[in-house]
Amino acid sequence: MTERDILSVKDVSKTFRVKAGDVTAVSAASLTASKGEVTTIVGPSGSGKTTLLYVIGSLEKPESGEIKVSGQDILDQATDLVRYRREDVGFVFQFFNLVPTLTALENVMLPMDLAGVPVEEQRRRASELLENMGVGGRLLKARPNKMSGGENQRVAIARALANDPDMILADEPTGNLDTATGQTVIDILSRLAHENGKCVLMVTHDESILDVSDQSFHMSDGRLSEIHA
Amino acid sequence: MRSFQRGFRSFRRNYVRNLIVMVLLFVCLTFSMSMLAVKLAADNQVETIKQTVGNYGEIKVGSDYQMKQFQEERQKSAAERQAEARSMTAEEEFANSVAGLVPEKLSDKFSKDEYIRTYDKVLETGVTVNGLTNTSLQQLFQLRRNPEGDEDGGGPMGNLNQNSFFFAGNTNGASASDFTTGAKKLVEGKHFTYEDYKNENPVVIIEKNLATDNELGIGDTVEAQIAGATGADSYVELKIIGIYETVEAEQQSQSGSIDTAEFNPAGNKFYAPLSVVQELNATQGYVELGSYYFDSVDDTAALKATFKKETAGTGGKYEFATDRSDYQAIADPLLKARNTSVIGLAGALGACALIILLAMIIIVSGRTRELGILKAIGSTDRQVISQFAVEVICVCLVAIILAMGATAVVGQSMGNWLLPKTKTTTSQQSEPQGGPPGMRMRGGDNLYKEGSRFSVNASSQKQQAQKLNVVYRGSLFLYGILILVGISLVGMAIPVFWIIRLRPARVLSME
Repeated sequence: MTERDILSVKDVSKTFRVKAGDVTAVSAASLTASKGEVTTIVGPSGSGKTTLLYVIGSLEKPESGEIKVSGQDILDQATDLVRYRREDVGFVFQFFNLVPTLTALENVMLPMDLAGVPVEEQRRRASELLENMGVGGRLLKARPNKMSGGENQRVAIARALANDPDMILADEPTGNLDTATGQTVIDILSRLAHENGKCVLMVTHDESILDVSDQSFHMSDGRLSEIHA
Repeated sequence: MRSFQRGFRSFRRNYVRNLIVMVLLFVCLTFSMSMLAVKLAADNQVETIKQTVGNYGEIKVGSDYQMKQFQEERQKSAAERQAEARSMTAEEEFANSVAGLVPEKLSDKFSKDEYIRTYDKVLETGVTVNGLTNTSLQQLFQLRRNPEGDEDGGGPMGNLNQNSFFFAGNTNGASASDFTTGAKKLVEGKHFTYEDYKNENPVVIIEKNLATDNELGIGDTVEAQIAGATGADSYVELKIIGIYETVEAEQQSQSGSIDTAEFNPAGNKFYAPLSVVQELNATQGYVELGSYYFDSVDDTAALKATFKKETAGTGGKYEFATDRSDYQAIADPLLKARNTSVIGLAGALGACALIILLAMIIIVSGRTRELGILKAIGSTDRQVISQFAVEVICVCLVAIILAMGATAVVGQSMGNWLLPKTKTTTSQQSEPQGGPPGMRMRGGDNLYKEGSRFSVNASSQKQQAQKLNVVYRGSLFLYGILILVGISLVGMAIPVFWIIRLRPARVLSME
């Protein structure tokens, strides 16, 4: 693990209990990811990519393994996972997952509000982030149902960046977008890694994203393997 | 505070579904609050009624006992009765004259019960007053003459003659029921006092017309005969200290519905200290009844138990009669309305709880993704719960404020609707038994507190009770807050359970 490495995943396994029996979604997965890099996990649907991402984001709990983010073991009982989700990681989802009753600006302000940031500071930073994402002007006060898929995803990326986390976890960020809009989103995420020094971990089944990736993994039946250039 | 703001914002932004819930809650809460208002009003009115009705009782010789004695006497022939009277010793004669009376000792002993607030002793009897003519008895005797004009039926009846008057004795003139009910009003002089009773002062209060007809005034005296006595000591000189007028008779006369001359013979009733009336009736130590006011109708059972204990061994001769039936006549419709309102309240509150519960299930299940997002971006369970709590409270608060306003409008109508429809009854007291007009003898279910037979007091109370006054009171507001807290807690039960158990990963991947 180098100095720039922020994420270290070791032998993480996750099994779901269903009626038919146990299903291993992630089997002894290991990887490291660094700041300033885009790390991509590709693989077919149902291969366990999203589960691994959620385990890293502490939305799911693995049966075994070790996950360290900035040297902190997030599987340790003592770790404050709420604070971790609020400040250390930012999520970007395939279906945007914006709060439908809030405007674009309010959606971006929400994580800061939960973190106790003063309202004026929230407003200033949210506006700035949205401007950077190309969602400004009248769109600031638009609700998700009044915006396009691309605009929604850019609002979602702005929300992920609201509390300035070191790591962005993106789950199929282009899965619900047309090719051109998807490319714009990929460009934004790539820029966040390469220009803003964020660690971007993306899971997708779109292998074209591998072009912008600094490190790539392939996942199949829960098993993770690195793709060497 | 931020949770409050987020919750309030969410409440405003989700206005369509919140409005539907609010309308449903508003309907149920208006019904609940109206039922509550009716209950509170009925409780309040029943408590007020308890202050005036149902808290009166009197000890007297039971009507069953009197009837039994009467039947026994009836079976005897006139000759047997005369022979019996002639052979009586003085003690037997006295025992016979007090057979229909209550020992004063029993009356006094009962007054010491912890529930008794005030008490009085009463003796009403016919007394001969020399030089004064009872006009109504005179009329009666004239009516009893046969058509041929002989004097067969025109003579005295038993101990009564044209000079007989009705004497009402108690321990304090002002507390005589005719004066407390307002049937009679002192217009000149003063009432006799408890001291007059204690000192056996020979004073009397007479009627205005009688005084005018006989040119009597305050300070004049009349001569009354002691029952059964003869000789120089058989008269008591009574000093007139007060003059009264008969209020109700005048009112009825003005309305033209009743012939005053027939129903309210002027000047035939005297009011004197009990001790004086006892002397005139030659029944010292005995009263017709002990009259008691106690705290409330709720004490009746305890008092009856005490009475039963104190009269054990008298063979059921005495009875403790109360005005509980009057209380029931007035309070029962209110109590029925209250009971119905309690059932309605419980049902409506149950419906409120069900509405908010089902509404929150629908709302929360439709917003699981939002819950998942909030948790995924770093909301604590407490923050999410607070936000939903504010939303639920806002919904319930608006509904209850509107319901309180609506209650002020529909509460009275609800009260009228719930109050059992009863016929307007007037307390028609039974005709006096065993006495001529103007010489009223107590009997049947008449109670001393009701005053003379012209009293309209009881009927007016019954009419008052037929209206339930649903007024807006502060306690309703407090209950409203309690209901608000209650339904909000019920409404929060589902979101709390849902929020704590929700795993964001399960909902965020769903399309």
